[in-house]
Amino acid sequence: MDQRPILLVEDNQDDEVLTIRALQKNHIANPVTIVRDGAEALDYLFATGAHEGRSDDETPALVLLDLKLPKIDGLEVLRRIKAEEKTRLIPVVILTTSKEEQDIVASYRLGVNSYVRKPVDFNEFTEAVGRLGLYWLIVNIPPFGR
Amino acid sequence: MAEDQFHLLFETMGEGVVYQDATGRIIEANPAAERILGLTQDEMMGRTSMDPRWACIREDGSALPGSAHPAMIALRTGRPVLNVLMGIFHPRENGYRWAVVSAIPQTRPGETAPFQVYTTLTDVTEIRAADAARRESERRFSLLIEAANEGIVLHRLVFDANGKPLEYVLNEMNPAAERILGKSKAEVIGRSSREVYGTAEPPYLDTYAEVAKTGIPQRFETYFAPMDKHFYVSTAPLGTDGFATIFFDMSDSKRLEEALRKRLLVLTQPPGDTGAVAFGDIFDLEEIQALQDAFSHAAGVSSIISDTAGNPITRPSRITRFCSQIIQKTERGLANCIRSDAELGRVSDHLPNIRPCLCCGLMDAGMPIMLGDRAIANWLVGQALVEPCRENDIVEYATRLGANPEEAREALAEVPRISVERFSAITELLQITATQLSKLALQNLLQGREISRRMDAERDLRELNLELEKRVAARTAALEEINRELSAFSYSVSHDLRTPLRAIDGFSQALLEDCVDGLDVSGKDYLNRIRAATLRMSSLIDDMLHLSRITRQEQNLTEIDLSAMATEALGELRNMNPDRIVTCEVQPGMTAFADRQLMRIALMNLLSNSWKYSAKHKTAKICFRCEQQDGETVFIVSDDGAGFDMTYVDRLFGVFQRLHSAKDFEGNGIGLATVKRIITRHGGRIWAEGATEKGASFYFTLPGSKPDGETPAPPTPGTA
Repeated sequence: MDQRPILLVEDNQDDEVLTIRALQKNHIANPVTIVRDGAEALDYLFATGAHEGRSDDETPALVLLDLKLPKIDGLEVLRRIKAEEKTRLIPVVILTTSKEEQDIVASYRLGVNSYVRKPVDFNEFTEAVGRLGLYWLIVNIPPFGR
Repeated sequence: MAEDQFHLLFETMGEGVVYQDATGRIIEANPAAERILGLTQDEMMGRTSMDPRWACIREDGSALPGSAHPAMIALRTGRPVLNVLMGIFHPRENGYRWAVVSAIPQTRPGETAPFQVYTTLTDVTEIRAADAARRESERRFSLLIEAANEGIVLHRLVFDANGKPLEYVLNEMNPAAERILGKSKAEVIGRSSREVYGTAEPPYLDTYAEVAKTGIPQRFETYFAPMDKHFYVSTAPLGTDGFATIFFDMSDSKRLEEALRKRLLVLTQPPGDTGAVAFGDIFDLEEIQALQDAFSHAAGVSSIISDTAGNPITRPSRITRFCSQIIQKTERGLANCIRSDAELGRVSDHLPNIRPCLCCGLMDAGMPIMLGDRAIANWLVGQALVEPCRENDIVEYATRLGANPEEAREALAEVPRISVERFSAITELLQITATQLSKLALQNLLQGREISRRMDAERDLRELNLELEKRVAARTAALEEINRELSAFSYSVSHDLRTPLRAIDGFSQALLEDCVDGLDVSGKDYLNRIRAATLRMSSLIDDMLHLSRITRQEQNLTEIDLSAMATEALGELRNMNPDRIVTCEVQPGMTAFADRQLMRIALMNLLSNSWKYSAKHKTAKICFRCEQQDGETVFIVSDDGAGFDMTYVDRLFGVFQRLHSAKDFEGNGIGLATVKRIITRHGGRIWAEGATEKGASFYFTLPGSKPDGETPAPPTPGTA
């Protein structure tokens, strides 16, 4: 199993704890790297700013991206990830509260790999996280091997 | 020329050549001759010019006998006969070909009589036809020019040595031009424009020179002062040094237009008093002049219309020499006349004032022309000697003013003498005419006022419309702003309100799982209640967002089959609750012009309501049908279920309003509010009737809906 980290882009600490709990309940053992806003997410992904010089091993296996983020919003982060040769093959899952059609359409236009709406019911949330972790970390064979 | 070369020429030349022997028999002909004559060489061989089959004619159509044929004459006389135009019957075309024919006799040396003759024929049939067409066209064209109503004049420009145009000469003109210019052809043809029009410079020379130079026609409207006329002129080039003008006199229409414009201007301006309105503002003075002239002519007296101060408005008609040449030639006489004229009209408004002229004593009568209650002019008639008259006194008065008594007496002799009766008849006519003019004046003024009022109203309306448009635009902008805010609000609701709910539910769950040992039964119960409440809140938020989305969503109106839609919805309900015994009746053929998606939501809500609220009964019946009420189609969804208390009917369609407890019937009170929004957005109405435990009926209308055919079909059992 791919042991590179999962990058969780999430500004809400409650959601952060719940997401990690849901990952653990699904026995997804990848390390989780947490960034709090869109700018930091980009810094991490492109190894710039505070994350300059991070090792290639820390390139995430999966990005869980919230849409409503401080500084740079989720759609812009997604656009930048998918526009860069270096990062565009990293699977990105939008993990958000919104199910506004405009967000869903925009995300798929920008090439998102999945769009998951965080359900209020924690049991459902755990199931959803489990499904996407299973798919993107285990079933899916990334085009670049280790 | 070599023999073979000559032969080639003979065979290919365009002119026909025929050789005849001394007796006139044809011995040879070239292909061109065969073509022109319509005969092969073999066919014509041996024929003479005397043969009647040639059926030749002269230009005037008369028969040309064989003896008069150029070839025969040439043979007879021994001299060539040149260029005779003749028509020769062409048997293949069954018509005449025209040819110019020359016959050259050939004589051997030493002989006098020709031994043969050769004839050339030049085919001119086509040239003649074209010529005839051109002549016919010219004839028609000149007829047109002769008959035209517009004046047409052809001119030639005259240039100086440097090619600068100096003048133009009139070369040709049509009868209309003679009429319009008031000059005969003989007077103007060959003369320069300056001579014809008596102007210092050739009128419009620059324009005409430009037309001739550029070859581009021009048109213009002009007031031509020397003739005091308005013209509309089109001018076209004729070669490089000539031009044609085509023109008509638009003075009359111009004058009418101007008078109308001026009148409207005056009449529509002062809304209050009539003080500023003068006689000339209300009447066309040329028309009034014509009326006054006709009046004077018929009555045989002088006549003039003056303003209230006595100054003339019209030109005098039939003025007597005595007044104009004797009395008014003196300074005091003229002043007296004006004063008298002013006095005449002033005395009475309704009856003509008759009395001797204050000036000279000739009999005058005056009648004011009123605008409402104000005189705007006086119509004066008279300068007549009404018997019995005191001629000596009048002559004496003229002499006092400084006139020559002999001349005065002579002039007075020319003044018409009329009887008292006749003069009173004339004044009566004057009264009637002037009264009519007064009425007309008032009418004109009132019409003007009315036009003015309408123009004001139109302007007000335009301004009001503009104002309304502005307001609508502002309101629309405000609404759009509200819509944007609403979108932003619901977006943030969907995001921000749900996030804490997820935390409440998630951590309650975590507490249940991780700290299970520290919780007793009621502690676990409380946590489960927290979780249930959280999920209910989440579902409320979802419903609210759904409702607001329905309000904002764009409508796509199409013809939809409500009957089929309802049958489908009832089928879904039946699949979800296969154990229920429900009779469903859907009237077939109900259609509406509505948004398919929204109507499906509305119908599903209504039918599932009926389904839900009839669940406590052993059997149930649900109907969907329509009725005509006051000319509109009313759709009805009814059931025989729990119904409701009519006391609370007002709360039925409110958001989150419920008439039943969640314990009895689950639901969150958003369904009917949604239905109402959908119906209202379609421009329809919705209302309900019901009674507790006796079922409920929901009625709604949709503009543009109609039942199938005119008579509603009887309800048929649906999917039950």
